[in-house]
Amino acid sequence: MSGAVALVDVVDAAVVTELTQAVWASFVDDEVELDEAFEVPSDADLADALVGRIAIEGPAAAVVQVVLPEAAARAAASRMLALDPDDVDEADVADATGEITNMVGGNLKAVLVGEHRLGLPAVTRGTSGPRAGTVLAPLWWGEHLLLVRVDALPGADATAVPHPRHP
Amino acid sequence: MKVLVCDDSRVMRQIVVRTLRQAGFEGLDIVEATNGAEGLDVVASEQPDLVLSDWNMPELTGIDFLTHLRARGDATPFGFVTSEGSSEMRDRAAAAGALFLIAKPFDADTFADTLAGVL
Repeated sequence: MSGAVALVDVVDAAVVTELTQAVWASFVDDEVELDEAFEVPSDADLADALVGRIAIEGPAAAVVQVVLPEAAARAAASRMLALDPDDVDEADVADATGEITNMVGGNLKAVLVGEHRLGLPAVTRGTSGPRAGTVLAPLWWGEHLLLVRVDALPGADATAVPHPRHP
Repeated sequence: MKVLVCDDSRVMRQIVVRTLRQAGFEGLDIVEATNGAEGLDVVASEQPDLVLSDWNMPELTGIDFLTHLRARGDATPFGFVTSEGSSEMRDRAAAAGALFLIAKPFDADTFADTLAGVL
């Protein structure tokens, strides 16, 4: 293990995409794909979005955000619960968004070396911003857009280096 | 067989229960708890044959849930189902007395393989 590596050097859109694809394939039953030609959506497009946030504390401290427009979050929750979308209530939609965020955050933490601690996910509605960041993975699940953003926190240094995930 | 599924996410509790069924474990009596503190009460009242618990939960985390159980002399078989599957977490889980740690996301095959000797 040698050399200091910043979070941005450890985690890129491809890594975030891979982690999110694993979650999707297991629990939402469909694939998500990275959008190479991503166009920034308008505020109106994301006004009803659910935003899951979770913190990773430690030498490569970061915040992970998963942004799911309402229709995407409801569709994902219905797949996760094996219920008709009309039978999924608000609490379930928020719960599913939080659990997706938790899994992406937990798996992201696993690629960091050193003592890190995962917080608890929090979910809010509506966003005016998370479309850029230290790392941004704009993904499509069929017709649904989802954004996974990872921000290095101030003070995170970067002594964390990646595990040899693909030896 | 009675199984306690402890997770603060209702969605994930549903997925765990469904995956148990998909893994071939039919006819289980499922009881649920939403955090470790509630889990301690449910273990005492329901006396499950196995606890499947998340790690990161409000009130009382999964690792503290397990530690409290063992401290009161309760040897109920216990395994984690958590989004954190690093070797450090697995070592901590084993040291506290957990039988296994299943990392999220998981599939029915993982449940079948891991729980074959337990259920």
